[in-house]
Amino acid sequence: MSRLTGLLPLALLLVVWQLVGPERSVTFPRPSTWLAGLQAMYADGTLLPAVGTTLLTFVASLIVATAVGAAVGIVMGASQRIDRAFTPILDFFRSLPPPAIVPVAGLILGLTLVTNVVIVVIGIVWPILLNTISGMHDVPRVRLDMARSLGLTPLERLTKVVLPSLAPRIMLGVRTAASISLILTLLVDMLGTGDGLGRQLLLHQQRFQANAVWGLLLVTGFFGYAANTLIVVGERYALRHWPEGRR
Amino acid sequence: MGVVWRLNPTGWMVVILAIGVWEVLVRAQILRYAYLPAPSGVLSGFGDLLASGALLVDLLHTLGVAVLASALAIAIGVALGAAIGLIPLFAALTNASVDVLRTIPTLALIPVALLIFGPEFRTEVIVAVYAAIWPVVINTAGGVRAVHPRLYDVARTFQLSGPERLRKIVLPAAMPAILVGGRLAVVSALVVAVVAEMLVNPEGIGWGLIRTEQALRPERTWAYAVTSGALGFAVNAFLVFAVRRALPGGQDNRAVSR
Repeated sequence: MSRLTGLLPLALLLVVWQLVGPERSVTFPRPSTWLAGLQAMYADGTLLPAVGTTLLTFVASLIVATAVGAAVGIVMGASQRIDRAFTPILDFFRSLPPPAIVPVAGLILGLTLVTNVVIVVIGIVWPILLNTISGMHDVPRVRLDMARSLGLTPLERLTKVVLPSLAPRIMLGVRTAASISLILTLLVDMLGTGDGLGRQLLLHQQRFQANAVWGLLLVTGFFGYAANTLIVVGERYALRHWPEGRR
Repeated sequence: MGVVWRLNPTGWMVVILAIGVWEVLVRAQILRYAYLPAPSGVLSGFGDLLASGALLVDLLHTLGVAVLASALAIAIGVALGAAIGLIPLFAALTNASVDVLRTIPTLALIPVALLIFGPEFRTEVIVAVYAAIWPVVINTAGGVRAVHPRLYDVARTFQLSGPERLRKIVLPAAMPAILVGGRLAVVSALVVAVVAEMLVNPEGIGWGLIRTEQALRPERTWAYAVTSGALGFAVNAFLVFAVRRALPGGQDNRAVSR
């Protein structure tokens, strides 16, 4: 109920817009025409592949970045010496605005579907990596000692002690990475030659088809909302063994 | 912790080693990508851009937009966030709308902003403000809501008026949360400014990256990328310092600014 009242101003705005807005406009076309724009894109077969491409880039890059970031982070965080040795390099990549990676990496790798994923991964892996490293430092010593005195193998120590202890920090990094990925996934598409949502947005903007642009904004907004919800659900699942306050 | 620890000589040795290996690999043509310059090439590209003055102009443009946009975002965001935190009815009416609006990827708004405002300076600023405002709104609302009820009793005892209460009690108490939001805002504004320069307003570091990429001058593209990293680093370091300075009462702000 409270969710619905919270959407009231937005809904009201759309209704007023629909009633007084112009039918054809290059800036603010009526909301009903957005759906017509999407309908046209669906009919000529560009909408679904675009959603698919963007979804694939987003999900694949997030999975790869999580795996790589967590794995490298565990290795680097295990030794204070390695961690220190790479601190200046990591500090640089942490402060580099992620979009700057796209033209540089694009020149070297080219912008295709596979390299798009690679480039997005390069842009988003840092928060996951850094959180894993600092998480490694915070794993209580007593847990590691206990694992050793219980005679766990190194693999068991990793899966039963280290990874569960790191889960909250890794998820914190994943959440930051996901919000950067939403930017980069669309950007590689806009700057490259892909056929994702970013490209479609830019194409229709260049043709001044405002209704299609607003329609695509609706789709992308829904995409962002869904991605956010997915992360929250994923986090709750990954941290299901953690008491509420300690996450 | 000693000076050696703070200077981290091993760390800088690794940096120098990495750059050296990169130089050798490119020179020896073991790494053979058509558009991967050697570090010495990047350095000369850097020199060219410095000599022509383009780099400095672009750097100042991007920094200026980031500062302007975050100032606007903080001003509007604190007002909006305080209203959400203080007025329950307003919060009930807007919370879900804020959630919807803030999750819209900023990149998707750029084409819409281009249609409405055109490829101009103001479009770049507007898009950057949009991206920067949400962390301020959310953190301010949370901070204001968490003000201890006893502080309101204090305000009543001193017979403070409404605006006085806001200025002397509520905002100072919420300041740590507001500062966290402000820091996030500056970082988002910088990132989105770079993107907007790539797609909207052909100026600044973002445009420099794209312009040199399209001209197939990778050493200059790298020079721009390194510059943007240095800018990000400087901005971050300044923010950490500023937040530590601005926090009242010398609290342990590492807990707050995480």
